[in-house]
Amino acid sequence: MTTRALHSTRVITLSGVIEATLILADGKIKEVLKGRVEREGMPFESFGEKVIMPGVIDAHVHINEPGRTEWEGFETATKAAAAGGITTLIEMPLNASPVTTTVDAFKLKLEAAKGKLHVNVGFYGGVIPNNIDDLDELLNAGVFGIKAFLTDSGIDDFPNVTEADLRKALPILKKHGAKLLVHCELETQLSVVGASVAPANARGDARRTEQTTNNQPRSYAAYLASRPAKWETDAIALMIRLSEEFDVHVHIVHVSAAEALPLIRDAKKRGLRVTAETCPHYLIFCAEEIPDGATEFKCAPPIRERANNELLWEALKDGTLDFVASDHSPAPPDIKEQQSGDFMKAWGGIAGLQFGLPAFWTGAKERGFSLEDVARLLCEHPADFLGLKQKGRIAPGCDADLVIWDPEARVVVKEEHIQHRHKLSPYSGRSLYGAVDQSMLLGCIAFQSGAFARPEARTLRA
Amino acid sequence: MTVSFRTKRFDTSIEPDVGFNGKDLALWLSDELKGWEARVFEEDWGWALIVERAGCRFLVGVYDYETNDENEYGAKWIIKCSEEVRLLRRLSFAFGGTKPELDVESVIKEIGRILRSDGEIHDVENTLEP
Repeated sequence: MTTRALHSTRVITLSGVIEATLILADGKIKEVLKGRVEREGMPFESFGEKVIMPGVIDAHVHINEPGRTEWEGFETATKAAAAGGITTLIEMPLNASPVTTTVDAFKLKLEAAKGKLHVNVGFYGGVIPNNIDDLDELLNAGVFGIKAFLTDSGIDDFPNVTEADLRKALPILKKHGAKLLVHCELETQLSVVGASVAPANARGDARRTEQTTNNQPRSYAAYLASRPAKWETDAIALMIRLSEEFDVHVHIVHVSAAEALPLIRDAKKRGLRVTAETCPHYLIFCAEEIPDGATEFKCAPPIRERANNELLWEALKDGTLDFVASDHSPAPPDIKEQQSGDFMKAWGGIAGLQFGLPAFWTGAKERGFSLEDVARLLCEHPADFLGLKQKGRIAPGCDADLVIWDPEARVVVKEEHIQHRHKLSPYSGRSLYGAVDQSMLLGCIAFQSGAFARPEARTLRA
Repeated sequence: MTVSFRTKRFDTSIEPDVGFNGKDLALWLSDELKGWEARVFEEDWGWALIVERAGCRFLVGVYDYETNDENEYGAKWIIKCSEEVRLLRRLSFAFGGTKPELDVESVIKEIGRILRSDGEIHDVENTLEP
């Protein structure tokens, strides 16, 4: 790559948003110069007032290849990522087949990704009840962490673990200094107070809400009630306890329930190695506005009420939540039960990879977040979390993974914009602030004004 | 201890979100338990009351046995009671204090008497736990 200069009046650097010129060479940011600096003989391009920011790092994506490529594949997902300003994403161990719970399955995934990537992709491994003995090898092979479910994952090959399983897995993670990422929902047992006088066949919230949803399968309110906040808080309390006991970094993925925030806040205050993320869909959508039958909004945990979601925004501001990730988990429209609108039968997952940046920014700017906040929550903190020291920030020596975007431009999401394999997305028809002009990997263009190039995107190892 | 009965008096449709019906029955019972302090509360499985008198405190769960188990007298209902023994009282009794004047049996008997005195309630009987 020849040495060249990129200029903007709004470059998000570690010292704030400044007018700057970036000197790029050999895939790196060589210099960050204040102001507009044109050097003789060096190619120079100014983006005017468009923002130059580190490429977004999405630490939570389901791609489904191999095995369920008809749901989503590396080619389509990474194109969508590039179009959305994402330059690195980390893929989850379930939804593909085989699931990434062994090194052999990991190798198959790496093979499947070859030649298809438009952005960098790293991988997590998974822990299930019968693969504890595989974790050592998986971690040695370079996965970025180990994912676990405390409730049914929806994928038969990826059963949830119990506390007993985790007690076997956590010493292995500790040995490797690895993170455990946890889907925190724990189906509630009967409350202690009333258990002695409950019907013999009562099953707590699950029983009540199962009945509700069976009676009203198209009702979003019924679906929401079927996965109460208590499931999340119980699970998070368990994981905090285990993190403390085993001294292992536990990361709580996709926090939805504001009731869980005090637990996370307290754990951090006590110096425990607990981090947490939330997702744009929990921030910008709200239960009150989701129509019955609109299964494109179904995800687990569910999108909750507006007042709840405002507390998630506050938690991003005060650092209780560390970063934002898409949890892109698409499925074909028939699996999303678009015809029936049945929330109980529909696949739970939001297709939103491409829209993470504009969706987050649209909500964030309304609430007084700055562009630096966006870079912190979408780039810097995910990079820190993943240990990607060369990424997530604009500074000399860092990779020239960049996004150039216009935060004032308003875009209505139309089907023809959507690069995911399937066009069904709750973002369809939404008017969002933030248009991505270019995404760049190691200084080479991956996406520019609607067109794609295949730069040197690579698979990443921890 | 439990008591079961049949009636059409209580609405089985007012609280569809709860796994077991019982709000209507719980509210009615709290009114009928004269001389008791009764508080209705929603449990994660359905409805219950905390009833107190003379320093004794009991939990009372109320629910329909099976929503489709109806005969000419109506749905089958269950009322189940257990004592909530406070630690201090438990300790005091263990170390020779006086036995409390009320027990679960007396509460269930009282509830049974209330049920039998109502003309719309039938087949009242003490029963094994369902």
